[in-house]
Amino acid sequence: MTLFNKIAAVALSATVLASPALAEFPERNIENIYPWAPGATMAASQVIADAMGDELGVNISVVSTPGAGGVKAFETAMSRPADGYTIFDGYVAPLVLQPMQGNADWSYTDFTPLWSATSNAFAIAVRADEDRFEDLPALLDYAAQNPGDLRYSPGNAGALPHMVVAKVMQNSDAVAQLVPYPEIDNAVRDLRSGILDFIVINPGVYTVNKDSVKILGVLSTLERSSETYGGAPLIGSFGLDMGMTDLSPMGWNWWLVRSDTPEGVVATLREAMGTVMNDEETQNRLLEMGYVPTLFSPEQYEEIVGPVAEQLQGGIDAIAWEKEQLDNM
Amino acid sequence: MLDLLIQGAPLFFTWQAVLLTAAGIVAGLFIGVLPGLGPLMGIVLMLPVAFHLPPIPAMGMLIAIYVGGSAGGSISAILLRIPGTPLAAATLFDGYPMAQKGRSQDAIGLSIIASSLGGLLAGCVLLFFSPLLAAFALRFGPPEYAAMALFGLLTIAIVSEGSTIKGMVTGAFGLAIATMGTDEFTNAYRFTFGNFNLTSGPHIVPVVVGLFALSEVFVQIEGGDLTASPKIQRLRVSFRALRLILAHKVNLVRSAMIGTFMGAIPGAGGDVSAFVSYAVARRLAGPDEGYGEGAEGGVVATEAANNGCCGGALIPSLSLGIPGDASTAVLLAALFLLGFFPGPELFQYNADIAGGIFIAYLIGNIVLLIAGIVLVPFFGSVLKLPKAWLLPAVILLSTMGTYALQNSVFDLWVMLVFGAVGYLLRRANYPLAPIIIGMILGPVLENNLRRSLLISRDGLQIFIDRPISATILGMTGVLLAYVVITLIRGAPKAAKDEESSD
Amino acid sequence: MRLRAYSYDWIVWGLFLALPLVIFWQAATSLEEQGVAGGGPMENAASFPRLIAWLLLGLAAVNGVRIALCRISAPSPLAPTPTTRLACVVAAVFVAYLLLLPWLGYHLVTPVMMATTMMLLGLSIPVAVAGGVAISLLVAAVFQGLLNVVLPVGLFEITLFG
Repeated sequence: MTLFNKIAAVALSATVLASPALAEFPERNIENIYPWAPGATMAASQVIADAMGDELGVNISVVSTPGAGGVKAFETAMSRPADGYTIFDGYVAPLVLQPMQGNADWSYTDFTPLWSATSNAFAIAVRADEDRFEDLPALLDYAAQNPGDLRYSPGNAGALPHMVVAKVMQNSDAVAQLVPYPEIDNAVRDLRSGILDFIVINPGVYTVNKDSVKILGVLSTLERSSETYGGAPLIGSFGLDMGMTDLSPMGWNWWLVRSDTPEGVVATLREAMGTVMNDEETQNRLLEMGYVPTLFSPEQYEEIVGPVAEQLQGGIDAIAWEKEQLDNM
Repeated sequence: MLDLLIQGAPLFFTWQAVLLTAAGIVAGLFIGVLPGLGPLMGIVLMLPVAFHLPPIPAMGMLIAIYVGGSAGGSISAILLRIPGTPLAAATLFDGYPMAQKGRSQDAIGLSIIASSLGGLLAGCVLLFFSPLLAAFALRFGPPEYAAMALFGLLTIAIVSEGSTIKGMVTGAFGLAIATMGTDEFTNAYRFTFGNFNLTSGPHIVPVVVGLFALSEVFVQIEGGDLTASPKIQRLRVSFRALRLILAHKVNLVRSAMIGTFMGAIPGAGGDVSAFVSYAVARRLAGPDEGYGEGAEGGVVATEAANNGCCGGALIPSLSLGIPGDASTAVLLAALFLLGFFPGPELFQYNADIAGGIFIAYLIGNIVLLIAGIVLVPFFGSVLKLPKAWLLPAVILLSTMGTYALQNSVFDLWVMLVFGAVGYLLRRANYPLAPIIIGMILGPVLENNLRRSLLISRDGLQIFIDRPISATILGMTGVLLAYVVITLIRGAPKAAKDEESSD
Repeated sequence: MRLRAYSYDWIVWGLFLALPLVIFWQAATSLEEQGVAGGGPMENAASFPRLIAWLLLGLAAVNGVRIALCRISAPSPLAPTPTTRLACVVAAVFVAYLLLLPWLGYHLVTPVMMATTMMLLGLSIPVAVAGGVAISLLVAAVFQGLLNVVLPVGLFEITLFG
């Protein structure tokens, strides 16, 4: 019985040591479940987490939980109690895309939104010394005339950048050989050595590789996106249409909690995140890293996220079209 | 080369990085001293901690543990005739007789100084060759990386202790584990058995911790003597060895270079290099030097070589992303986790990180010299620490370290399963290191193979058309032929097995 | 066929024989259902695992012959030492620890596990309890206090350094 007594004693002392059960939220560290491998994008989430943690007086750690296109992170977060101590770093892929593709059984309406965090536009990049194509229409034209001759990488196959570029290429009837890489960072080397002809880059990777790549076109309809690529032209300026507008062709994340989280807790988290996202210093730090704060409030969640799914279907169809073209060659 | 150091300096010379590097050396030395726990175990236990630190302090600490751990094993070899790590197995040939003659103080001093200087010499080679190799590797495309991964895997399977076949089996096992998770090309789930925790495959940290740390705890408990503490001679701080080493200059440089060279070949490893340089030193020495009966040169040769090996092993690891041994494989995993890709890109875009790692390595070896001599009296006390204290601490550190990585209890079960697998493999005399190398090189091999085929217009032809990949594959072919021939003959390798099994 | 002398060799041989079979089975079921068990390098997620499976089968065949003919230098008998049973008990305590950890949280189960293990390994009860509690607190202080890791809190949501 001594063992039982020992456990009881330890339990008792530990309960006394711990703060009262009904104290003010938050009374311990919070976790942000981040769905990708560590890298530039995770650093952006960490910036927000740190600022928000200061606001709340606790530490918010960003926990990288990559796997299954973000689904693993969502599953992990959903297996935790709805007490506000676990935040979903809700990227488009696990939030909208994976459910659309039947890989997850939730919808974006199943979560309670905090604020939207950042967005980043994708862009088509070639080697810095590329002289075969003077602009994006020339590249697409070449790919239409010589289907499959060019090789390109959108990073991960089937992910958002792939959808966007496939849609653009489908609209111009352009076909190029797809070569997937786990992260677009890995593809830059093979772009430079001439193995790839173009890649779909994001602002974080562009910032690091500025000297070795040239941006032909930014895949966004938002004027501000051009700034994160040193003023490169938006795709619309060539009269090209990609069939997606606003946030749909972009990578973005919205911080979420489980929908059964107590209201008071949600209010505290929303207030802290709102303060942080509207803070100029935080905004500048994010912009420097290539990530544009979206400043969408919790109330705008439905209105912003709703239409994305519809527009992304076009991207999914474009990938199917591309596969068909490549298979026929 | 120097510009790498200049770029890395601001990252390294922060109180956090310097302190953690120094702490890493001390921790490494103690871990190395303790029989059974080598540098690999130290790195494994601290890997999850490193993940929560900025990159250079993290890598500095891990590399310092690598360096300190490689040196520490000699102390128990000298004092107890038990090598703290396999790396120090050759050190006891002359180190223990020296101690028997009452010269344990000198033997330890010499081994520490030889380790430190050997490591520094290797550091110079590392500093010179890695950027060159990295610049060359800029021309590598998917076919070259696939060929390189194949080559690395095969050498590791061949050189690792135990039989070649068993090395190949565990290497293939590592490759198989690496295929678990989400396929990069189709996004299909492979071997996840419907469990979402497996959608990114088993994490390398629980696998490494289970295979090496947990199984070791079990083996140690089976070994008995849990509360015993050995009798150790009293040791004092002495700088006398600094003078003694001067008589062994040539031996030191030669052994360090042998170590560096062996380290740079994927798979060769510190224990092999220590034996080789010992054999060379012994052959070149006159009979009057008394090798095997307490010759100073024997200690210098083995220790300079096994620490030189660390620097050597870092060369292919950092510049190609192909690990030189199991410890560097885990170091590579750490670099991945911190968000950096080892290989030419590291030197191109993260030159400050590469430079910071080099500085950490060099400074680590300097700290080793000082700490190794100053802390000598403490090593004796650490050796007296009974296993009943040590093993539970290893269990808890393994568990919480693994948990902290992804805050996942599932990972702890993965760790446990691999602990059991590691135990069985140890008992059946299978080498464990190829599993880790296989896990790291598996995705490199598969994905670059498939990428090459996508790029190629005529299938596998692309591997022959490109001169570099053709050369690497040629070397792989020669190795494979060697394996097959020795297998059919059966004799030479079996002889080596008997040697290493006692 | 000295089965006893090579017990561990045979056990591991069996494991590595089962592994390729699992790969083939999964390729034929799960991967087939997902439509990725055939086709070109882009679509075929099964070709590389199958390659490894064949390699493992080949090596298992060679290895099987080698063990059967006693061509392996070091025997691997099941030779329990006087403390093997103790090692198994410690392993069982650890399994119990893993089972209880998510429910009761770090601060309840860890000191108990540590003290029990240290006691089993031969330390006296007071020393084991003091040591177990001290090491648990130290590890928690490092991970929770310094590294901001959220250790398992369990149903009672106990944290000390968070």
